[in-house]
Amino acid sequence: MPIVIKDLTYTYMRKTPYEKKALDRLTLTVNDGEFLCIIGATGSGKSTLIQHMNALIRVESGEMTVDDMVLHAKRVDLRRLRGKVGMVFQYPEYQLFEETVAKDVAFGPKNMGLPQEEIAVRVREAIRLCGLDYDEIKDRSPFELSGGQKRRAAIAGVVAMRPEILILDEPTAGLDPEGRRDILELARSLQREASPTVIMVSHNMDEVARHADRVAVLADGGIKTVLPPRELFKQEAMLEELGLGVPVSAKLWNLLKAAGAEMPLLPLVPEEFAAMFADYAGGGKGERRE
Amino acid sequence: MDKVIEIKNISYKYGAAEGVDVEALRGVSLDVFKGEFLVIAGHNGSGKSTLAKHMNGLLLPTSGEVRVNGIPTTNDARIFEIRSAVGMVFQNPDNQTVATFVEDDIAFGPENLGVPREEIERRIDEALAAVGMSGHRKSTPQKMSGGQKQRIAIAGVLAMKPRVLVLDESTSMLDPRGRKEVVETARKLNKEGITVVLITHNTEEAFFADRIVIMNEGHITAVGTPKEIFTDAETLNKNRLVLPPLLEIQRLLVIAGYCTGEPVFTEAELSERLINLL
Repeated sequence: MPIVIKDLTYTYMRKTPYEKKALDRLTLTVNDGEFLCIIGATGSGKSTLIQHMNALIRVESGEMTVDDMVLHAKRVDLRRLRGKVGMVFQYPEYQLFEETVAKDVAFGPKNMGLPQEEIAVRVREAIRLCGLDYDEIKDRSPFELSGGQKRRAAIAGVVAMRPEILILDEPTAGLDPEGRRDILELARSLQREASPTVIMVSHNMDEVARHADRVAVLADGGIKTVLPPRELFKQEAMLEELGLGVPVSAKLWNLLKAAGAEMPLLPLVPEEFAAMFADYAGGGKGERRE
Repeated sequence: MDKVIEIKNISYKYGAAEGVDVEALRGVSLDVFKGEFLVIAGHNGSGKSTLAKHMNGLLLPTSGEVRVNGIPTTNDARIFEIRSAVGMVFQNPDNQTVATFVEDDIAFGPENLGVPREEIERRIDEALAAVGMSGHRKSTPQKMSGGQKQRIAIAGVLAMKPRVLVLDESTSMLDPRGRKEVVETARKLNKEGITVVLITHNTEEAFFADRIVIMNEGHITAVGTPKEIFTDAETLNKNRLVLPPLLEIQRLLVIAGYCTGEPVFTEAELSERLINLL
């Protein structure tokens, strides 16, 4: 169930002195089963775009479909849409509110109007999928969990709606290195086991390089380009100009290339860089390079 | 060397009232020297932030002692002096401004100390210039980016004429650009003579530190220069931290037999070294 967006335009505070065009004729297709990363400087329209995807913001101008659902139509079955598209906001742990973790995770499915037994099954499953121990955690207050556990519990609340598309808005913000790695691994395992399509907004280019199938670059409310990371990060000057930058491995590849040593593929992560450089240097030993 | 902050064998426990007993610091000793750029790194929950909050008496140790300019932080009568000497900027850029306009926000500290108006005016200008925000006197902090808000918070601290600037995870909620703005501001201020203590879990921010202190489970588990700390992946891993990508690449290249010698901390230096290997 792809998301197809065509010429989407959205203006905040219309007809006021503060009027601001957040999206400007944006066109993008999100494919089935991909891990799509969205990058862009603050104010480029990332949040506005993803809020359209589950109709937190309604289409004002342009067209947008999610699977068979037409979001620019007059009436949209919001309950059905929000069951399809799950949204995990920034710092989702701030939105925990119930007395117990189990009740908090149940909030979404309950609002979908599911029967009690079904809710119980989903809550148990979501908590497990998010790497938490159901029996140990179900009756605890979400507020007494550790930072990492809180974030997992908050994500479980979205997973419990069994969305086919999972949207994560900067899921690793504020976490330490271990917490970041854990949450990204969680995103990957959720993609395998629960929500086949993942859309992740991120500022961390090393994370994007490691996980994205494709990367959509936003600038001034439109899509600048959509490319696989190995292609995208060759364009360092463009990304720098947008205030984004490239991962360290790509930066080194670009520097080596500028010095006349172009390794055939752009490495995305440190392991790749070291292996590719060893190959390149080994293969080229004794040869003169221009 | 001159010690601006002396931390002597402090422990800190909390939660006794609620029946839980958490020992966030367990026998920590550390001196902060005048003029240094000190980074305290650790994972979430390692005790680094609790330690920072002892540096100007926001928290008082359960046992042991902290002195600022020789004054114990338990000395209530001189706590204003201590807080003026050691200024602190916190994590959340949205929680640290009190006024509608930047100039009023920066004036808040010195006004409370009864600094005369003309002197306050002068300090506002100086503080904004120091953080590279001179044009923003009449701006509204609420409308700024995270990095700008944190620089305004730093300016607010500078207006108190501190000897030490403590950045308590001040970069952790920022995007890469904001993080860079704050770290570069801190480096610049340090070059101009202010002692900086930067608390972080992003080890990249420690590249240019004079000294790195690593904390884990309420203890200091390692102290060293960036060259020492970043060639010891094992110690970092044991403390639930990671090598930044630039250093991880160098570690892997060393294993593959391609890179020897001292680690370098910029991509440009590494690529130059690699070109010479070809």
